[in-house]
Amino acid sequence: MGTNFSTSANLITSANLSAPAALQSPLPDQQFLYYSRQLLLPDWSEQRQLQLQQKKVLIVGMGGLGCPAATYLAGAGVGWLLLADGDKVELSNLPRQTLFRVSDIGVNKAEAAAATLQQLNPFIRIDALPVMLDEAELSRRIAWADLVLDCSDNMATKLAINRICQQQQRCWLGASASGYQGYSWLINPASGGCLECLGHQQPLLPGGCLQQGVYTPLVGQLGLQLASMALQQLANGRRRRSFVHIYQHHQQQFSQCQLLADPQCECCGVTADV
Amino acid sequence: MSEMIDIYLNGDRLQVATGMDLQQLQQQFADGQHVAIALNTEIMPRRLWADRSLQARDQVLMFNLVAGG
Repeated sequence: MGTNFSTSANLITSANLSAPAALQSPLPDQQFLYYSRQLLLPDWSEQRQLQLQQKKVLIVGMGGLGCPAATYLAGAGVGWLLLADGDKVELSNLPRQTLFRVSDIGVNKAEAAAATLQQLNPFIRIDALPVMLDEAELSRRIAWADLVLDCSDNMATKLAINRICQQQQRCWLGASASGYQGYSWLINPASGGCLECLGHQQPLLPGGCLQQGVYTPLVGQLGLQLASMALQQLANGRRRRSFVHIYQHHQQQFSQCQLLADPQCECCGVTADV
Repeated sequence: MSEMIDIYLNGDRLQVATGMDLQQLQQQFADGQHVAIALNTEIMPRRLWADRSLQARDQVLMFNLVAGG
């Protein structure tokens, strides 16, 4: 049986940054079927699914972290995903960046990912921003989103997101991986503590995956962790203290550490109210 | 000779002198490296390192938040 779905991902423009589709209730039959396994969860419901359909998530970076994070956020039914990346798909990306195929080599990552994800879930809106965002544009897009996921591969972007989210008092999630080292984090400006409290204003080791390589499954694990944290944040709206998950390769486990605020941090320097 | 205590650094058991603080630990094991330190599941701001003396059985994670993804 053939079913006709719209599968064309859109390139975002300033003209179409409007609200998500109006809330439909109850879920149409096809969507009920699509989300049926999730709807069976004891703490899930059609209402929760419809609420998730109203959420907007900005994902900065569609590499090894962004691909798995976006896949599961799309599958879970986040209503509007905005994917930002100025890079093109390369052969060396394919082992980790699972939304891409050989035929995507040379194509912009945000566009290729949006096209694949729209095939995965035709019931949500997915837009591509096929450019490296400057700080002004990043600020505008962060203000638009309900939640920001930093899946970028460089410290400058991470620190810019940290700074802007601090200014806008927006909770955000991020991750980073290189070699056998991996981290994911939730930063809640209201609770104090930010990326700069770690004292990491500069890239600390010479350059990330290009120099040190990266353990292939680690970026996937971190991306899935981001997706799960994002769903929890979007669905429950829980105000949590800032924390960092630290991957310990020899034990194959993550340790969750609370991020204490540095009272003299030049970025946050705030008193916690959580 | 100073008394020693056992701590865990990045999962490995280690003996250090009683009274050693986080800053001294960083100088001994990661001198010149720009690391962050988590002590018993709390990431300590750099400015507090010299004020935090290690206790027996403390769990310390010393890490470097490399960028990549």
